[in-house]
Amino acid sequence: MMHECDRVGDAIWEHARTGADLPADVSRHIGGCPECARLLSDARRILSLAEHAIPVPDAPDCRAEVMARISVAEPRRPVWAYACALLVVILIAGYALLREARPPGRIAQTNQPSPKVSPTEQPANPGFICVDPVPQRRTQCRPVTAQHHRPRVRHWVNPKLMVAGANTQQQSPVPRTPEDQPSMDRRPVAAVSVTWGAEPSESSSYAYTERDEATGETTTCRVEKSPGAVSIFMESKPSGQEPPSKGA
Amino acid sequence: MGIPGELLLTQVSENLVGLARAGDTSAFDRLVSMHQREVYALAYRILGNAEDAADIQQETFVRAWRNLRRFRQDAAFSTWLHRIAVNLCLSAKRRKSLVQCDIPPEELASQSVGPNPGADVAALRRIIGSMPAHHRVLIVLRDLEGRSFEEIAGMIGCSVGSARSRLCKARGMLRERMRPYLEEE
Repeated sequence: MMHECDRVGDAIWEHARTGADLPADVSRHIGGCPECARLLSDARRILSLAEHAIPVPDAPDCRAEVMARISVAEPRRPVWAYACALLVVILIAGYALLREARPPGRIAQTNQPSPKVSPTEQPANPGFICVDPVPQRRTQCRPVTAQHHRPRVRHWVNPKLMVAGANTQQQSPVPRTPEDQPSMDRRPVAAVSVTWGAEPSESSSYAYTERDEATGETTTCRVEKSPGAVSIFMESKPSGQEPPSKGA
Repeated sequence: MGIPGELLLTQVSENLVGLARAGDTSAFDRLVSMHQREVYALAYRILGNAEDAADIQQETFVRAWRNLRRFRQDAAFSTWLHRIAVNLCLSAKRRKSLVQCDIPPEELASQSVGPNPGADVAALRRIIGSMPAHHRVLIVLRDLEGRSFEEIAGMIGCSVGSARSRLCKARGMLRERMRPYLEEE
């Protein structure tokens, strides 16, 4: 009987709410069940009161406020767009970090600065040597000699690196100090980093030339490593003068 | 043979939703105009407070605009809108007690019940206000707004069967708390 009361309960509430006709089986059950008859009476009473229990006041017009807020807060971009942007940022940052963290290997001049270089003239990073005073120039780099373990050579313009002018003489490859040439300006220069292989022979050398496509200026650089020292020779010549194919 | 008014309204609403999803704010403005009264009524019946209901009304449409791309149109826009409103009301209830008359049932039962029907209405209002929010939502949606169980299930995020059984419990609680007033009849 209780199970039957549970079954018809919902129908009783719906009948009380809508006034729709009760199904015949529910009517028969209510006729023989005082509890369900009482439920019907209570439901009618409660729902008749409920119509007046919560009178809803006039709704305010919220259009102006809503439109003002959504004009400030545009619809959000899809999540995948943010994910793609984040991925790109992570890749760029990771690439930059890897470049920074890459083992420098054995940079030629790091521990063995050339004794010919004046201490006051030595660049901040001893692995660099000035190559050209023109920043950001386009060059063609062509190695001319490579002996034994070919070193890895990187060259780039480093505007922060300030040394004396690059018109170094072939026989005096080391830049002169400002005291030697007071008329020389300190200008931004390019730099070259030479990294030797893991097991270089006792004597190694490497040379290359680079040519500025814009000015035709040609620069030759040669690095020689001996057990006691590292020597770097370089020479820049204006257009029309070919540098020697080998270092001095 | 004309199109029934409710169906026409639904079609207009769906068209406006499509335009609004493409970024048309004027279409969304019309949607707000169409649905703001029912959203406010729902919020007011659940919260029982005009100021809070107005806040929920406004927040519902702002949330709807922000999440319009997620609306898959497998349900009516009004159902989706009411679901947002119900969730906001329940969240508001959790954050702070918005019950207008949080009177324990024992105290309500001990109050004298006069012959004045207005007193019974006030008692019912207090009792509905004192019920747990998840029960009150069901009574509001079904017995005051006449929503179908399918709509209710969509709004509160449960199955139709679960909505039926929860409503049965809510009605039982309401009847039990109203018993002192009903026995006077």
